[in-house]
Amino acid sequence: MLRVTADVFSGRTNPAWVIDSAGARTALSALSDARHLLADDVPAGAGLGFRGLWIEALGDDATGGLPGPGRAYLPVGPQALGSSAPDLATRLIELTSAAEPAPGVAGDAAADTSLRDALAQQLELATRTLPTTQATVDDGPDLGGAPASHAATEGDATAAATCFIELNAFSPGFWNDNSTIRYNNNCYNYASNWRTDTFAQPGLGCGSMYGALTCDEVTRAALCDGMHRRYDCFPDPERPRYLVALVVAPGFDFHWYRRAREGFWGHKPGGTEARNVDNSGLVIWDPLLADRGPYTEFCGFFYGCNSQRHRIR
Amino acid sequence: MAAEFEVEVDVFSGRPNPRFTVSGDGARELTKRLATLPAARSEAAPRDTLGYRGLRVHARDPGGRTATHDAAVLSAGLVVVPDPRTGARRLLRDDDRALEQWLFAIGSATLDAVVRAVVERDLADG
Repeated sequence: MLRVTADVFSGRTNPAWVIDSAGARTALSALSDARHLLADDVPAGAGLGFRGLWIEALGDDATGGLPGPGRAYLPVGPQALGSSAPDLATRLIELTSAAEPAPGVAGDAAADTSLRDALAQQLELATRTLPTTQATVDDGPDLGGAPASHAATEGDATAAATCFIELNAFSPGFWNDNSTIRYNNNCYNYASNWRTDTFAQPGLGCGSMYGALTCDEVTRAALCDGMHRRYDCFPDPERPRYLVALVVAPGFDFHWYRRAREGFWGHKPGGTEARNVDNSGLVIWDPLLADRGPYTEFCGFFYGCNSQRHRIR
Repeated sequence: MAAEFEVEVDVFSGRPNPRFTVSGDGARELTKRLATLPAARSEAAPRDTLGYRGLRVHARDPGGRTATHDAAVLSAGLVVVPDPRTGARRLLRDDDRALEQWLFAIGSATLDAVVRAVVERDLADG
């Protein structure tokens, strides 16, 4: 048997149900096909409202399909780990319609039809208001780049801060399929995820375009447009907050990369197509290690934000 | 048939690419050479990496407006042109990058010295 708990309330006890053996087998089968949607705990940054479902085995015959010690958390809404998380949550909620309230759950939090309907509505709202291709994550050390080696310059924030950023699914079609967009938007447009059709130049939007093709100057111009150095966090109202990387070919040109949800980095060399491979044709898992052709100098990691991308020209 | 072309040196990622104009005899010669290039293998593709990628040729109309689409793209021994009847891409061979070298030489003196050196080195490498 499984216990399913809806992580929804802030003050009241969360509602929970016990799903019997038949329902549990159905649930475990669905969960084993969707391990990538499950977490060990509630993700950092989860807010108010329907946050997810706890699924717990109540016996050693019902652990298959669950990671860890027979317990898993299915995040929904902004913290969902995949676009099919709402469907899985809906299926689990439907299974509770034939279930009993879990022992120990207070009477006023016991399951009923109106509560399930409310959960379904919250689930639909949380899914509808967020692009299904975007996730908010903690910019921790596993997102790539070696923060210790790039926080050495004066004024850099360190990795001690916990910054939340948004990761989009890699969507090259937006940049590639329309010849006007492809031709008139460059690496800075792509990194900012903002189409201007002007081949945007760092600093032009804020009135102080870069004056030299050096890391210092292009960095200054990008910060002027509103970017922050990595670990200098942007607040939630500045969503989307993208993790980007700047490189230069000294005295020649600059180039930008943007971290995608899939784990690799995307980029757009000038008016050519956006892609996720480097000059050697290899997927870019770390721009520090990628074949960047003449762009030999790595300037650092930064965050773009909503204000910044609206400012670029 | 255009009387004038704008040639874009496709070399940058962030900065706008430098350009130069080909007109008069040069424009006529370019048109003639493009029309006589042999076909290339269909699986060939122009360069799209960071660094120098090639020359993009845009036709200019009598009013001086530059067409947004490419009349031709010359890249590492390959020339991509639209089929005049269907608009589909046709792939042609530019053996020894002879056309690309000839075209670049027409406007190279007007370009920044660093850009000129980068492209000349690439053309010399074959």
